[in-house]
Amino acid sequence: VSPLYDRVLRFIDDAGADRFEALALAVFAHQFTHCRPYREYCLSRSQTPETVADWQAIPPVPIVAFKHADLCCGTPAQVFLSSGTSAGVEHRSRHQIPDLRLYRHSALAGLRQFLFPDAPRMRLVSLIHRVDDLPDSSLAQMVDWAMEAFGTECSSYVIGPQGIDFAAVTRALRESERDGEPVCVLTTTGALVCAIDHYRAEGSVFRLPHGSRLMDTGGDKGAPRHLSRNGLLHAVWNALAIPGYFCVNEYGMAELSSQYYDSVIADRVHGRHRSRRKLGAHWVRTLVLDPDALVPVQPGGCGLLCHFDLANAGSAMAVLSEDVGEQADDGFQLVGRAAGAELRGCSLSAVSPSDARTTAGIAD
Amino acid sequence: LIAGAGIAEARGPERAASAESSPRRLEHAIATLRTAQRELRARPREQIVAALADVVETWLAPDSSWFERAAAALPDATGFSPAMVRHALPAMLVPLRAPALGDLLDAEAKSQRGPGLILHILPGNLPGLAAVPAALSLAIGSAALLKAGRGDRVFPALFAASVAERDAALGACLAACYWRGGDRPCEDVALSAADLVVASGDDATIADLTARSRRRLIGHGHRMSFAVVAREVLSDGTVERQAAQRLAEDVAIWDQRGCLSPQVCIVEGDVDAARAFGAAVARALGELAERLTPARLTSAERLDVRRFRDTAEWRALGGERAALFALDAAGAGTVVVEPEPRVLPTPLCRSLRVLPLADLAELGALLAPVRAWLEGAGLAAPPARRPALARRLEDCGVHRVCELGEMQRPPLTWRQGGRPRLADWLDG
Repeated sequence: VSPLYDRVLRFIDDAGADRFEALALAVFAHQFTHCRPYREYCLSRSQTPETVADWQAIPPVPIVAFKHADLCCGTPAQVFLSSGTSAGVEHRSRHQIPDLRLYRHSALAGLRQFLFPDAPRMRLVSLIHRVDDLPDSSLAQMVDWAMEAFGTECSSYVIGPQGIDFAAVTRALRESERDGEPVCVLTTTGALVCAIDHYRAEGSVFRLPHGSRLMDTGGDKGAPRHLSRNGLLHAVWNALAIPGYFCVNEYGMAELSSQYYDSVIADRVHGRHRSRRKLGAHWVRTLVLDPDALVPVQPGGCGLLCHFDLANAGSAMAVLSEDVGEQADDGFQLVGRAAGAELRGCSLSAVSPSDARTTAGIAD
Repeated sequence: LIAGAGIAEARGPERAASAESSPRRLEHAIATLRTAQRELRARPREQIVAALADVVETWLAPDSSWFERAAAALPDATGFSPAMVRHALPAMLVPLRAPALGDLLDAEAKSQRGPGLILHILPGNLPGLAAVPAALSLAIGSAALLKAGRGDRVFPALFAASVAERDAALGACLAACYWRGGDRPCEDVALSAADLVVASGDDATIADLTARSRRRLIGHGHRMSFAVVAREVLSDGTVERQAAQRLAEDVAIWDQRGCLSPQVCIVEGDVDAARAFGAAVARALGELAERLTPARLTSAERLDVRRFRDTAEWRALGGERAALFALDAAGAGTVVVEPEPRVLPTPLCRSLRVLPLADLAELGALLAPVRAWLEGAGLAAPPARRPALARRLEDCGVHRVCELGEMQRPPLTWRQGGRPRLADWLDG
């Protein structure tokens, strides 16, 4: 285990302990030295720790790199796999982590900052699977740690290998209604839409106590229907009485050790009046890049999100996502996923119609 | 909506082309077409064929004003470069030159007539695709409603206007129109009026249109094409270079948007042979990009090409025997060498997968999983091997086998999707 990882851990715990810029360059040098495929990638672009003087110039690896190469500085202590919606065509992404403390520290510090800034412990109700049921899932691992770090003893999982246990959901939420203790619902967006539809069909509503909150993640995957963000917030208010300013969408990926969250709870706690946007913690930074030249777009422009996550010190810190976004104040707005050009005419192309979603936002 | 005669002249078909039809205007145009078609039935076929041949020659003449108008409007309307439009558009009309149209009619139609009104739902991928269906419809005595695809609303209107200029009565049997895909009111009017629908689109679109058509519908779904290079070609440097140049031309024409554009090249030999040939094709694509400037790509296309390139590069960095040869501009050319025998489409935009195959005798197994989508194959092989290879490819489900470099120049007799060109359109 490299002493550099301890330095990153100290920085996660204390923003004053180091400088992002210097630490990013140190992590780059570490990965250049200890990760052969990444070194070759950088060398093919004539980028080395000697030539790169600015963290923004550190070569990012595309998401597909995690499908084909071992991006790990040492022996992996844990391997997380992407959820693999396109498995079968391509491999799933493999995020190999040599020092799991980096992920744990980062995940918990992020949750504390953006989901629980006002509540050291809460009753957690998880519609995300137990890590025992999904050992490859970085999300399940994060929820496991969250249960331990932020959950009270009344916390519970309300999903199992057979799917959502609606009786358990009802029990947990009614109990919170009765005893007035706020609850935090952790869920995938897909499971949330299933639950909303279930309770609407059943004619049940919940009036959860003030301070209750919701974190959803994962986009439309597994959702029975698409709901816009506003539609979802509206439905959550109707079903659970959790107001929009307590609903946080998490944006994360198996390839990163840090997550981004809607700013609403942190803004409210810190008395900021700003619009909803995605925020990351001080050990991550995100650039919005032009998809061709991979240079930052003009302020306000749309582009590919490129994340620099110091907690990925043991794998690949600079990751070029396939997500499209735009800079917004001190964070960014997620605009869509860059998935697939439309099919044209009679020529069959690699993008299957089911994958062919429009790329919102980037100017043609 | 642009009728061949009348409306088009007022503002010029190029400008009128961007206007969308309304159900009421469609109904009016269809009524006009039906009236004109009754007169067309009485005319001798030879006269119609001669007029159409004149129209085609007018387009192909060196100083053709019709061609110049198309060449001026198409780059903006389609995203293709001016150089590409000038290079590739004539090939869309050449198959109609005399005596090909007369010969096809003799072979497939004889004295039979077509239905009263044919609705052609055109693909939007290539400019000029409207010429052949329009001419064939008129030649069998049918009126034709040409529903332009989003990618090219200019050419169908111009072609209809050029027919009307040569022969007003004939032009009155042709109308070009445009509405957005899925515009139910317009689609319902056109589908319920047509005696035959010939439609291009994806499987879901074809199924939907079939269910809603009053009469017959002939559907052309998405297809892909590929190249085959025999080992003998690789043993002679000059021959190999020529084959690479011919393949590059087949790939680059219309920036690979046609169903006869090769997306995969199967090289007889090992990975090293595939790699050497892939490098030669990439060089040839680079030279070609100087002459035939790539199309303007959409952001989604640029991202697809980026992912295609990233995947190949990281497969190689991850230790697999893949290779990437990429030109600077995303649309100028990307050649990926893949070690495993698996035929998959590419993101287009001049992107090619090169696969090694130890022996072309194994083509059957390689192509079996994609049989339903195959259209054309371009062949580079010594003359002695060609007939047997062509037969094998046809057995694999390929509808058109030709020499490499000729893939994008199908004759009028090309049996697209394995169907006769014309016989299916005729009234029983």
